[in-house]
This record gives sequence, C-alpha cells and structure tokens, in this order.
Amino acid sequence: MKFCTVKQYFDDENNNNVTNGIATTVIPLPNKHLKIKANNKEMEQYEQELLRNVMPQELTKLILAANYLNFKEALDFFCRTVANAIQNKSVDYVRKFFGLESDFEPGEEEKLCKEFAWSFEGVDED
Amino acid sequence: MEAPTPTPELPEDIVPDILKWLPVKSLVRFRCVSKSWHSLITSSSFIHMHLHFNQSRSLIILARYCDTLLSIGPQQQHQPNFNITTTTAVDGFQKAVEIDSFLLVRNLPYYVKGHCDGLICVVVNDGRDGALVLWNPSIRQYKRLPLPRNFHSTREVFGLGFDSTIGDYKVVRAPSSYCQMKIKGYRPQVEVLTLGSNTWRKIPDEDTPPFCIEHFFQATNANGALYWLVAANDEPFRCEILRFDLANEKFKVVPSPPDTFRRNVSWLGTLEGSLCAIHTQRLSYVDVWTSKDDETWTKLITIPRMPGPEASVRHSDYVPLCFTSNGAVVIGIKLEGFATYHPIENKVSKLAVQGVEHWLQETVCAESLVSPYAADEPAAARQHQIRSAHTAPRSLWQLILGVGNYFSCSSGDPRQ
Repeated sequence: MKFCTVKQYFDDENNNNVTNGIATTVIPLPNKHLKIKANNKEMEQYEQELLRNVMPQELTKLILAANYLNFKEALDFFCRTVANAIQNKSVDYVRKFFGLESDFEPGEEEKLCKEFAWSFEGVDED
Repeated sequence: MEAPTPTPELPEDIVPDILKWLPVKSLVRFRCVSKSWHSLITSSSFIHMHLHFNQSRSLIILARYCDTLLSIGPQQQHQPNFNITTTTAVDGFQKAVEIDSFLLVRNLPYYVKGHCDGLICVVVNDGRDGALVLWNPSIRQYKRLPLPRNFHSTREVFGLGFDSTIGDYKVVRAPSSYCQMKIKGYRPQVEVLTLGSNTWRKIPDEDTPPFCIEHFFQATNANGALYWLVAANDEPFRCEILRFDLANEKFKVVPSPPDTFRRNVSWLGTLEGSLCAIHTQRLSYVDVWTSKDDETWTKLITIPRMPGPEASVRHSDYVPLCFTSNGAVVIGIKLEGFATYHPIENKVSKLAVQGVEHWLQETVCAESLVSPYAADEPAAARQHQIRSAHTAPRSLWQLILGVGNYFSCSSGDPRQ
C-alpha cells in the first residue's frame, strides 16, 4: 500500500507540498525499515543519524510528506522527533516553530502563565 | 539557539500526534501557546489519549507519614539512550525529589488510599475535621472532596477508580478494621462518591460485604474494579482478596493464586495495568502472580532475592513497582532502597536512587493531565472519554514470549 502512494506521488506533477529533497529522505525509509526490522536499536541509531543534518523546521515538512505518503512509521518517528525538539522550549519558540500566533485576550495569557509558573522553570533560552 | 523561520502549517489532526509524546510539564506550559492548543490540551479526549499512550511512563510517589512526599521519575521511555548498557540504570529514576508543592500534608499524619489515571487519593489528619483530597502530582493540582459523615480521617479505607460505563471517577469508602474495633457505634457501610455528583451515596445493605479492611492498605485499581486484602471470616489467619466492581458496585471474593506452601497473599498491586499478587515472602525467591479475569492466575515473573551476608535473616519484602523499557522490573525494598531485576540475566542489582532514606507507602502512578476538577466541566466534554482496550505493551510480551522482532506497525498500532 505504501508503494502505491509513492508511485502516485511521482506521477502527480502538481504536487507542491513536498520538495524533492524531503522525498529522498522519506522514501528510502520503507526499505531500510524492512531490512533492519528485527533490531530496534539499529533502527533508532539509523534514524538518529538521518536527522542529525536536518534542521528542526524541516521536520514539519517531513511530517507533511510522511502524512501525504500515508507512511505511518515515518510519521510516528517524525512526530516524536519534533516533540523531542520542542519539549524543553519556550512558548514563543513553539509559536514560531509552528507558525502560530497568540490569540488570547489581553491579560488572559498572563493569568495562565502565572497559574502554571512552575512549568516554565528550567526552560531552554531562546 | 536562533528562533526558527516560519514553517508550513500542519493539519490540526497531526498536532495531537506530536503532543502525545510530550511530558506533562511541557504540555501544561504549551497551554499558553494559543487558544486552540489550550483547548486541545485540556480536552478530555486528548488527556485520555495522552494517558494511555504514556501508560508505561511511571512515576513513583513515596509517602512518608508526617513528612513530605517524594517523587521518583517519570521513567524516560520514549527517548533511545544508548548509554544504558547495564540493568542498574533506569533513566529518570536516579533521584527522588521532594514534593513541596503539596503543602497540605507537611508535618501531618496522612495516608495514600488509592490512585487512578495519575490521580492520587490522600487522607490527611489535620487535627480538626480531616481532609480527603484528590491530587495529581504531575499537574500540581488538588481538590478537597466533601467529607462523608462520621469521617475518621486516616483510619478510614478508601479507593479510587474509573467507571467506564459512566465516564467518571468514583471514590469508594469501605469498612475499616480500625474503626470497627475502636470506634463505638461504628456501622460498617460502603459509600460511593462520583466526581460529577460530588455527593456521597450509600450502597444497599445487602451489597455491603462482611469484611473490614486495614486502613494502611492502599486500594488496588485494575480490571475495572478495586481490590483489597481482607481477613477471612471462616478460617483464622487466612487472607482473601476482596473485589469491588466499579460499574455495578458489587463485592465478591476473588480466588487467591495457588501456592504449594499455602501461604497467604501479602501484597496486591498492578503491573502494566493488570492485577498482581505476591504471597508472604519467606523463600529465596518471590513469585509475582497476575490475573486479568479474576479467575485464572498465571506466574508473571519470579524474582530471586539478592544474596547477602544476612541471607539467613528475613529480608524486607520485595515490592515490584514497574517495568522498564528493556524488560527489567524495578523493585522497592522497604528499609533498604531499590533494585532492578532483569529476567534474561536473572540478576537482581541495586538501583541507586538519590535522596531516599525511608518511606512508608509507595504508589506507582502514571504521569497524566487528568484534573481533579475534570467533573466540573460540562457533561458534553466528558462524552469524548473513550477507554481504549488494554493491550500488553511491547516490552512485556517480548519478554514473555521471547519475541525479538519489531512489532509490525503496518497492520495497525495496537495502542490506537
């Protein structure tokens, strides 16, 4: 099923969402997964190496690609990697990462931050 | 680090798939990101999805009676760590942290009576009326519950569980041995408080069991029920396992696991969400039994006791706490500390946890976003609570069945 979608992707010339660079990262994954299926540790090491050169913001594009290709393992993996990347970051960093803006009423956000001040301790500097 | 450049927006249904990997502290902070993130993170559907997804990310809470509680963990499960080569290290469990945010208990006698989904039920004797509290240490919120009539605080017996048929939590007050013996005019009865109703309701007399429970026991929550150990009425010095079904609110006695030496069950608990039992520990090994249906018991694991100079002297009991991601079991040894047992190496090793000297009760709970105030939200929001069917996590099955292969995810993740 994965490979049908991949073929469809290549045939679909109007696809602007996924750049070729991203596709070359995602597409070899099924083969690699099948090859070293038996060994969790090897897989994790392979995946860590793979992403060492990828900038955090590129991860969003990888997620879109994996989602489009309906490739569950890659999607899970990229989501987890994004989660690791943002885990200890500030609220501002996360907003910029996802292209979001604060839409709270004035004072509402302050109230929330104050109520959960303990969750802001030890957060990475931006 | 530089702030990242804007990225293409992700479809909304993918955001939960990213957030589910995050620890509670991050999620609480990210409630401030935007209104939609706040709404998502506080929604009961996300909270329950996150809870079940992180079931094996255990938190160990140590209650110390008249002293603050300690917290160990949560266990780091999701991040591969190639530095863990020995079974003596459990990532996240290196240090016990004093919980000074739960000021209610400081210097007062208190007991943990039960827990469910990251919520802990605590009873405090404050020298006045006493307090019955639902507390989530992960989100640092607690709620005082209305007290039942004739409340004898720490000498009472309570349990906390989730009734999936109504999608709400129940606190159960059960007959107490101490009160039966010491309190004049005490009438053993069973009362239930559903969080949504916030009132106590007595169950019919004919459903009240002919048993009393020791007040220092924590209720065990598993298989849709609460369990306690009770003294048998017909046989002196025998123990029985008493079960209270959270949905139909009926009691029954569950047959104990078999034992060639006909010992009593001395400990009830849960491991990986299933009911477990251990007999009184006098041998050089400890059998941990488990049951999913309250009828058949299977041996989950046999833990050998650590050899030592005082091998002939009776050691403190071993209490299995939780499994690690590599299949080892973390053990609490009262008066001594902690250890891990790896079944494949068949070895028990000491586990160094900084900051713990003694404790009275251990509670292994999940790290969760479940709020003790959840029932105060409109009923419509609670309809989204769906309990996923329990499936044994990968680490446990690999261990038992000897399956070394990577579970194939292409046929569907068993967790979803």
